[in-house]
Amino acid sequence: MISPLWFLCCIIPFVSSFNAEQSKLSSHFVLVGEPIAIRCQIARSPAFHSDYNLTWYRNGSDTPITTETCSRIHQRDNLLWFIPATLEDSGLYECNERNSDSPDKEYIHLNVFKNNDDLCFNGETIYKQKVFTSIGGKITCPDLEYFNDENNTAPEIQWYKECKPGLLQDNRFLSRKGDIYLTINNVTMHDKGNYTCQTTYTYMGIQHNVSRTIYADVEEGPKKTPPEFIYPKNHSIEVKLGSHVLMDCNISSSISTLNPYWQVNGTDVNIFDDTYKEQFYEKPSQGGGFIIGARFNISEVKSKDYSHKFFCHVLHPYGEAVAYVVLKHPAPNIQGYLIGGLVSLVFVLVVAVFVYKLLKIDIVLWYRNSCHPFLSKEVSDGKIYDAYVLYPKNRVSCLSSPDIFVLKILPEVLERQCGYNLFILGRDDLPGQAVVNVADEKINQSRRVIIVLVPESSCYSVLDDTSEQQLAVYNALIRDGIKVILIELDKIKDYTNMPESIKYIKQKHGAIRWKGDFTERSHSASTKFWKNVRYQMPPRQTLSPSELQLLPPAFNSPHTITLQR
Amino acid sequence: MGDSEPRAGLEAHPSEIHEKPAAQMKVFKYRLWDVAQKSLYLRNNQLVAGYLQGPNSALEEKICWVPNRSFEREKFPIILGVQDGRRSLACGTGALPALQLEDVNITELSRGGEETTRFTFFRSYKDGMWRFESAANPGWLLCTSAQSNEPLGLTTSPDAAHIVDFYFQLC
Repeated sequence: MISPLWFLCCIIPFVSSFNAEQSKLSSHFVLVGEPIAIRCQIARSPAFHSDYNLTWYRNGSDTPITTETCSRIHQRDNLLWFIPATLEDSGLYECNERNSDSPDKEYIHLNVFKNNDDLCFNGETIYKQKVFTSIGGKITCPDLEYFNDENNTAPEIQWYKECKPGLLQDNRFLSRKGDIYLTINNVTMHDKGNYTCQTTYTYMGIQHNVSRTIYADVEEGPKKTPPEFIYPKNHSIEVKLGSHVLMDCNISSSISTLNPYWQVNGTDVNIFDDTYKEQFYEKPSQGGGFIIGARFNISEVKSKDYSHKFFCHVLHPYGEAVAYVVLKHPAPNIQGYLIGGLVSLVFVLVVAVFVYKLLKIDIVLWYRNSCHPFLSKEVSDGKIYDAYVLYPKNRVSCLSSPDIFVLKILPEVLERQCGYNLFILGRDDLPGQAVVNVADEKINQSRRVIIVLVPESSCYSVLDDTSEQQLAVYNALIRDGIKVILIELDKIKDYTNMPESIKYIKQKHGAIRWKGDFTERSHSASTKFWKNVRYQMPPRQTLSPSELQLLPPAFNSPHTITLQR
Repeated sequence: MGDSEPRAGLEAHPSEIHEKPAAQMKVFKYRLWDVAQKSLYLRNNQLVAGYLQGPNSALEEKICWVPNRSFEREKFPIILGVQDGRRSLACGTGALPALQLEDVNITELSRGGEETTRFTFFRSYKDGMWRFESAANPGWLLCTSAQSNEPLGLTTSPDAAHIVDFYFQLC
């Protein structure tokens, strides 16, 4: 057993290389005890030619194999017979052509096997055949043509599956008498397996068994349904001009060797554009059947590619299947633009609001400085003063910081630097005038009321001069709606002792706290404090001195006034 | 298309064939075996149909094919080749047409043209099997003998001795 197998391993590559040109060596397989007839393939005459133009030798022997037909090994017609074969017959044989101008030689290797244990065959001797479900099939008991009996009638064949008899009791299996075929109806996957056919060959009165074993593979049979398109599916795809597209027609088919192809505008794609090189492919698919396809590359999409449908056709035995795909220009990404636009708008708004919050005062002041005089020809509101300054009067001889602030710093910045016109009681009133009358008149002629606050101390009451204060607040809050600017000269922690009206204004408009010193050095109008004050002050509206003089002391009707820079 | 297409005739310049844009065919290997389960193998430069036992099944000759687009697609026209498509199966056009293998690559023949007619077979399909009719010899079908180890041939009369139904499938 070992030696023939070893030999086989060595001989197979040998056989293959020889086969490519001409079969000069072939292998034959037989079970021990069974007859075999071997044909020499170089024989030009038919196998049963009566001329003995061939001579058979066992390798290494110069003595031709006998033509004595009663010998176990003999040459009959041009065939080499072993009736029956024994294990010792394994080996090389050689046939030579006689009576030929160019003598030719062929080597034959005979392999004699015993059955595998507990089996009626040897796995090395199996023939592979294939049947399909749904279309039925037949398997064939092969290589019996030399074993017709003496009356030259085909031998009767017994069939076994996995070495078990009684196969034909299942009426799906059919084998007509004298027929080498086993027909299987309604093939199922369970019909896969090893089928052994057995017949007898009677020679010289002795009956010999002849058996063949076939492994029948069962595959899902082709269906009578048309192939199905996986791609395309009569749809469109968005591609950019100049982009690369792989056009891949992909079809699921139960029938092999169909040939899909692309067409456009009624012609093959390679005629539509000779750069479109179509390639056909086929591969087995997972659930049985095949994936067939045709594909080509559009390396650069051109304008003409947008104007036609690309059809993939596949002809099949039951007709034709067609599907198409259309190339489309990509739609502009409106959503993207919208989102981008909105996001940037929101961003710009947030930044603008932030900047405005941060620089509101600077912007307003800058606007008043640079644009206001050009843009507005304002109607006079009939007021003379930009602000009426209300401040606590020094009660005893204390440090006179409010006085310095009000009488020195405030005029220095607001009047001299910024050009405002202030009314400060104690500076601008004429001696002998009644305070209440002056206050009432001057507050009415003022656009703002500046109330200077100091923390309550022994030196100052919050606002001592109640009549003046009440008037101012009354005017500010009720009669004329004059805006009040609170200036704290120091941090005032406690407003509880303040009058209700001051509390109200503080709560509503807040207060500006002076953090500077009270020296009389020059103060800049562009510090944060002064900017805040200027912001709350009205836009400068100073009349020219000449106009001022022309005005009546008290005017109620509005006049058009010329602005002065 | 092909048959009805006006052509310069058989003496068309070879360069004309090359100028015609050819469909590029990747060559796949297929099994072709007859309804009696005989496989094909090569012997003495001929395709022979027989039963390959045991390790001999490795000797089965795989078939390559390309469609021939010069002919009506409805006839499933193809060109058959062996040895990775390097040799093509051709039909003689004598009184009794014979088959032979010629050293022409099937991909060259896939360009089509009158010259490829004798390499072309029209196919018809029934019950999972194909028949191959020689384009050059109408009515002549590819056949195997009921006897094993006989060369592939052509016949006009399919019968028990001349088998014309083949399974044809991707390996």
